[in-house]
Amino acid sequence: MSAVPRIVGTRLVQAVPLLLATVIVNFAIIHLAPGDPVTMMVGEGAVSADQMEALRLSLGLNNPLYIQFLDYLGSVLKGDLGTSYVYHQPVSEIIASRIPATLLLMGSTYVLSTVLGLAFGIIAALRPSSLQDRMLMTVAILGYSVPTFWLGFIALMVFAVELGWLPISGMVDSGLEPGSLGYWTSVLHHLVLPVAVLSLFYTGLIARLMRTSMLNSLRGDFIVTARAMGLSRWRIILRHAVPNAITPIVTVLGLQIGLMLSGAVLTETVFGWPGLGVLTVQAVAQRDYPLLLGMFLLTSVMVIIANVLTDLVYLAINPRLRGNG
Amino acid sequence: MNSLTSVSAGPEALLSVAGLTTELRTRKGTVHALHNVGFTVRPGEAIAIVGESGCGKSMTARSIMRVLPRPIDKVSGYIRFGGTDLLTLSDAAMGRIRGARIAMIFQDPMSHLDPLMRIGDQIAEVVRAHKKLAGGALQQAVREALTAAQIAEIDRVMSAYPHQLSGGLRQRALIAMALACEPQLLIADEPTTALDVTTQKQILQLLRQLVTERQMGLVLITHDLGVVANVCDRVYVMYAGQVIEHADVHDFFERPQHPYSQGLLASLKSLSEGNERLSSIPGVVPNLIAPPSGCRFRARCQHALDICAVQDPTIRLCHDNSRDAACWLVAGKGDGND
Repeated sequence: MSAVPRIVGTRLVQAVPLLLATVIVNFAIIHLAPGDPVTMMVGEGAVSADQMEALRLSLGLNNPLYIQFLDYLGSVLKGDLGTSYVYHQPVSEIIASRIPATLLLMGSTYVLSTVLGLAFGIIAALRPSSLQDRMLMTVAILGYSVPTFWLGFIALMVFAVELGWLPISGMVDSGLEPGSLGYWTSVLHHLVLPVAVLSLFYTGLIARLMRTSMLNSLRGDFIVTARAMGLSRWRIILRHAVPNAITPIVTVLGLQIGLMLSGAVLTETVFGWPGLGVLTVQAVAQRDYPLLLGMFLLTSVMVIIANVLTDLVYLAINPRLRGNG
Repeated sequence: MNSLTSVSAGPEALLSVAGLTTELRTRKGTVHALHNVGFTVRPGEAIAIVGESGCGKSMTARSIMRVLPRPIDKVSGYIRFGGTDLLTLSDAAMGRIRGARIAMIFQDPMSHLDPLMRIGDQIAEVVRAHKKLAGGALQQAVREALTAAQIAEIDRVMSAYPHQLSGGLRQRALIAMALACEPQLLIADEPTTALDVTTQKQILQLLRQLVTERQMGLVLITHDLGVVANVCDRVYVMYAGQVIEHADVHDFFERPQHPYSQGLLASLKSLSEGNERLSSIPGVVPNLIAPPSGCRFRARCQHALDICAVQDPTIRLCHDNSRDAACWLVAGKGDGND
C-alpha cells in the first residue's frame, strides 16, 4: 500500500503551482471585470470624491495591480484572506459561517443522487431497451438537460406557491430554538425542494453513466465465467457486474464533489438558501474583492481535495493500480 | 432421418448430445449458429471439437452450459447428462449442475477472471455456491482445488488478484475454480491458445492427467490439431455449425475422410514440412444467417457432386463412438440407419 503516501504526496506537490495559478487567474478576472468596489460601497454621488479617494487609498486600490496582487498573495500565505469590504469581517470567518448550510444542501444532494443514480443505472442496464430502461433513461435525460434554476422556479411555483406544501425560501423558520427538534424538522422541510431539484440533475447524470458502464461490465468475460460456475443471477450482478461497473465512474463521482460548489450558486439563489452560493452572488454584485477571491480559492481547494480523495478511493477499489505488491 | 434417432451412445456415455441446434437472435437476423450437432463423451475420455473460428465450437460449449449471449437465443435438441436432458431443466436446476457437475474453462483467463477479486475468494465463491461450507472447511476446499490444478505457491495465488499472476498461473487458477466441486465433465474452450508453448504443454498434461486420474470427461475445444493429437481420444470436426466428421484420433490423422478434414491436415503438414507456401483451403466460411442448401462446405470443395447442392450430408451421419464423415463421397455406415 505504499502507493497511498506517494499519490497524496504527488498531488499535494502538484497542488502548489495549481493553487498559485488559480489565485493569479482569479485575481486577474476580478480586477479586469468592470465596476468599482468603492462606488458599490458608498453608493453613487453619496459622498465626495475626496472621501472616495481616501477610501481607495485605505483599501490599497490605488496601488499598481501587481503590488495589490503581491500584498494579497502575501497575506493568503499567512492564512489571512483579508477583510470583506461589505461585512467588515474577516473573509475566513464569513465563509466558515456559511459552510454548514451549503454542506447540508450539497451533502444531502450528493448522497441521494449517487445512491439513486447508481440504482437506476443498474436497473436500466439489467433489461436494456425494456420499458423500465426507456422510462428511467427518459427521466434521466430530462433531469440533466432541463436547467436547474428553471426547474427550481417551476417546483417553487407548484409545491410552495400553489400547493403550499413546502416553504418558499430560506433554510429554517425564524424563532425556533437552534438544535431543538422543531428546528431540525423545519430545516428538513426547507431542504426537500432544493435537494429534490438539484438531485434530479445529478441523478440523471450518474444514472446515464452507470447504465453504460453496467452494460459494458455485463458483457465482460468474467460474467460468462460466473454463469458457467453456477453462481446465482443476483450474486453475479451484485458481486461481479456492479463493482466492475462502478470502478470506471468513480472518477466522475469524485469530480462532482469539486463541482458541487458551482452548482450551489444557482440553486441557493433560487431557493434563498443561506449558503456559500448566495454569498458568492452577493460578493460579485457588490464587488467585494476579498470575499470573492476567498470563495474562488475555496472552490479551487475543494476541487483539488476532491481529486486526491478520488484517487485514493480509486486505489482502494481497483487492485490493478496497486501494482504487484 | 435425422440424427436424433441414430444416437447410440451406449450406457456408459457421460454426455450425449444429439440434434443440438442453436439460433442466436442478432440485429442482422437469426444466426443459425449450430445445426444438428451431436457427439458423446464417456468418463475418462477426452474428445476434441476442432474447426476454424466461427464454426460453432464455442457455441456448442455455451449451448451445453446454457450460457448464451442473450436470453432470447434458442437452443433445441437433446443434451443427456447424468440421465436427464439438460435442456428440460429449470434455470435453478441447471445452476446446480453448472460449476458443480459440468465445469468450463476459457481461452483468455485474464478476462475470464474478475479483476477486482482475489483468486482465493473467487474459488471460494464457487464452492459456496454448490456446497454448504464455511470457515476452515471452505479454505481447505479452496486449497485442495489449487493443489489439484498443480499450483505450488498456494498462499500467494490465493491472495493474489488476477493481474498479479502469469498467464499460466491464471489458467491454472481458472482450472482450480472449475475443479473445486469435482465435476464429472470439463469443457475447455481453447484453454491454451493464449499461452506460450511451454506453459501450453504443462496445462495440456494437467488436463490429460485429470481425465485419467479422476475418470473425468473432457471436451477440448481447439483449432490446434497438435493439441488434439497430444490430449484427445476422439475427434469431432465442425464446419459452419455442423459436425462433419468424427473419428478415433489415430484414424483421423491417418485417414481423414471429409475433404475439409483433409484440407485441415494438409495445411498442418505443409507447415511442419517447412514448405515455402502454406497450403490452405480456398474460400470462406458461409454466412450462417442464410446457410447454403445442401452441403455447407460445397462451395469450397474440389470434389462437389450434384447431390451436394441439394441434400445436406449431415443427415446421414451417425453419432456413435465409431467414425463417420458427412460427405456424399464417403460411403459411410450411417446410411443403414435411415
